[in-house]
Amino acid sequence: MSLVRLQDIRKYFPVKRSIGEVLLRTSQSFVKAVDGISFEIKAGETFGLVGESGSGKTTTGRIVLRLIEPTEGTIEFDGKDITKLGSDEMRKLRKDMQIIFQDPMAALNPYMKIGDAIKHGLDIHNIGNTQSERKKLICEMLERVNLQADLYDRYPHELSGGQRQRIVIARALILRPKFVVADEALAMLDVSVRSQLLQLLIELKKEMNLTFLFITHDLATTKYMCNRIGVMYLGKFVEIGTYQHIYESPMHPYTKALISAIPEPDPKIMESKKRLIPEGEVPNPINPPSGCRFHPRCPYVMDVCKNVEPPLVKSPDDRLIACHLYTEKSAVQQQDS
Amino acid sequence: MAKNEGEAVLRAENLKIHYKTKKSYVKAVDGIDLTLRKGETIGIVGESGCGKSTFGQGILKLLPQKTKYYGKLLVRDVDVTPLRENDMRKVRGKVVGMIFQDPMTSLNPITKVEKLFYETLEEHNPGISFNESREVTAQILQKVGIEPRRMREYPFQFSGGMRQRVMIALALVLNPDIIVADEPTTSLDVIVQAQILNLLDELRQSYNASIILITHDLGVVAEMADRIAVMYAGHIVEQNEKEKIYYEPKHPYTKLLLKSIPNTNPKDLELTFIPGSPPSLVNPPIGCRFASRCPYKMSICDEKEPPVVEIDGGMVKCWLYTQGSDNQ
Repeated sequence: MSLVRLQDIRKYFPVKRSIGEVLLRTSQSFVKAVDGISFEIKAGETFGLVGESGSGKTTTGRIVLRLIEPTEGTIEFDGKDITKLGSDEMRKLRKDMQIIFQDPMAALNPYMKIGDAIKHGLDIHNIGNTQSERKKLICEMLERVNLQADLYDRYPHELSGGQRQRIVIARALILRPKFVVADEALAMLDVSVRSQLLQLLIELKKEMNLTFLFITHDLATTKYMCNRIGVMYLGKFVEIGTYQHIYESPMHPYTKALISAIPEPDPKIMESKKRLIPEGEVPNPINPPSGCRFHPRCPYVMDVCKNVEPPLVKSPDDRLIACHLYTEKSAVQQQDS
Repeated sequence: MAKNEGEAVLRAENLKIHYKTKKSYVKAVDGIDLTLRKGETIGIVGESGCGKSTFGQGILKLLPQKTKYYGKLLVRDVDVTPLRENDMRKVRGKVVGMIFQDPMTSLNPITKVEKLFYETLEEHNPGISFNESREVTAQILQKVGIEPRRMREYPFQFSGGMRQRVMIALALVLNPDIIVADEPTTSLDVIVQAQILNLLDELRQSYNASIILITHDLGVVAEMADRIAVMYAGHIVEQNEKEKIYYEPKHPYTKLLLKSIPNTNPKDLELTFIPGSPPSLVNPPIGCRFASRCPYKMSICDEKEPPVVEIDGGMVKCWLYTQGSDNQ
C-alpha cells in the first residue's frame, strides 16, 4: 500500500522582476524547480532522491510535507488527498510526517535548551499527560539516539555536529511519525560520524517501521537505506530503480554520467573507471531545453530528443526510464500523431 | 609519478601552528614533517578539526595575527615562519597559489573578474597596464575553459563550477611553483567536481606545479594524489604513496577511516565506524592522540607520544610499529 503518492507535481517559483520590468509589463518568468513528477512511496519503503543542486529534489521533499505549496498536482498521504487541507488539519497531520534537515545548527534554535526543543512537538501534539512524563519520553529518546539524558539542559552550541544531528533526529522521531523526509541529513558530517548516523537511521527505521524519503547527493549512502532511487535532472525524473539498477547498470545517459563521476576511495578503480563526464553545466531552469532536458549535453542525442519529451516508462527489468534510446517506438508514434 | 627524488619545493620540519582563542591556544598543527617535491601532488586527508586546513593556510600565513608558528616551514628553501606580512605578500600568489573551498566567499563580489586579476598581477608586476593585464587574463581564462569576454562580469554572475574555474585561474596566473588547494571541490556537485578535477590534473601537468590537496574526501585523493598524508588531531599519523595508503594502511586510524567510507559495492552492506570523537586540541592527551578510540591500544600509548617510524617507504606515527626499528 502506498503511504505517499504524488501526482503530476509542478512547482514554479516566480522570478523577481525589477520595477522597470513591471512597468514595461515584461512577462513574468518562472523557475521550473519541479516540472511534472509523479511517484509513490509504499509503507515501510525508503525512496531515495538523488540529483545535482537545482534538480528539484529538495523542493520535492518540501512539497510532500506541504512546507511549500505545489503549483499543480496532488499529494496523497495515507490514502487521503492533503493538497488542499487547511492549516489546522495539516498541523495535526504533521505528527505523522516529519523532516530531518541538513544543517543541524540552523535547524535548532540556539537559545532553546535541547530538552525544550524536543519537547516542543510533544506540547503541540499533546503527547504525554504531564510535564514529567514528557521529560521521561525525551530522556528515553535521547538515550535511543545514543546521547546522554543529561544533555536535556544543554544548548546546541555545546554539542558537536554529530550530536546536534542526533538531536534533530530525536526531535523528529519522538512524535512516532509514519513518514520522515531526510533532506541531506548526513551531508555535513565527517565520514566516521556519517556512518554512525546512517547506522542509527537504519536501526530506527526498522524499530519504528518508518517510511523515508531520503534526499541526498551521495549515491553511496543510498545503498544502505533505499529500496528505490529516483534520479532527478532539472525538475524531472530521468530514471527510477533499485540501487542495482541505478548503480550497476544505469540506462539513462545522465545517470551514467552521474555514476561515472563519483570519486571512489580506491586508486585502482579510479584508474580503470570509464569517465563519461558531460561538458557544460546544468541549463537554466527558467528556460529548460525543449524535448529531453538532457539533450544539449547528451552524447547519444538524436533528432527526436530535441523536440519530444521522453515519457517515463517501465523498462523490461522493472525500472522506470525517460529516454528515447529505450522508447524510440513510442516517441516516433507520438511524433506521427 | 614523483617518487622520493626531485627537488623539494616545500618542507615542513616539526611544524607547529597554534592559534589563539579567547582563553587558550589551540594546537591545531602540532609537529608535522612533510616534504613536497617538484611536480608532485600530496593529498592531506582527515576529518574536520584535524588541522589540515590550518596547515594549508599556514603555508601562506593566512591565519589570524596572534597565531604562533614553531619549527620550520621551508618554501623553496626560505623559512616562512618568521616572515612578516610584507614579505609574505611576495610569496603569496607568486610562489604559492591558493584555491579555497568556497569560491563565492573568497572572490570579492563587487569586483569584476578582470579587476581581480589586475589586482593580483599588479601586486607582483608594478607598472603593468590594465590592458596588458587583460591580455594575460584572457589567456589564462581560456586555459581554464572560460570565455575571455566573461572577464567583464562579476563573480556572482558565474555558476559555482565556473567560479571555481576563475579561482583556479587566479591561483595560476602568476605561475606559482606550489598550489595549495583547500577542499577545492567540496561545494560542487559530482559532475562539476569531476570536471574541475580533470582541469586541475591537466593544468598540473602543463605547469609542472606541485600541489597540496587538502580534502576530507578519500575518493578525490584516490584519483589526484601521488602521496597521501593522513592527519589526526594535529599530527600526521601516516604518510606514504597513494597505493600503500589504500591497500596496505598501517596506522589504526587510517585503517578505520578507510573502512568507514560508504563504498558503492552493492554486495557490501556492512557499515563500520570509529567510536568516540577526537580529543580537544587545547589540552591534547600526552600519549597517542588516537589511543582512546584505538582498538589496538597498549599501555604505552596512553603514556608517551609515539615516534614517527619509517616503514615500507612511508612513515607512521604509532607504537605498534616501533619494535625492531631504530627510532626508539
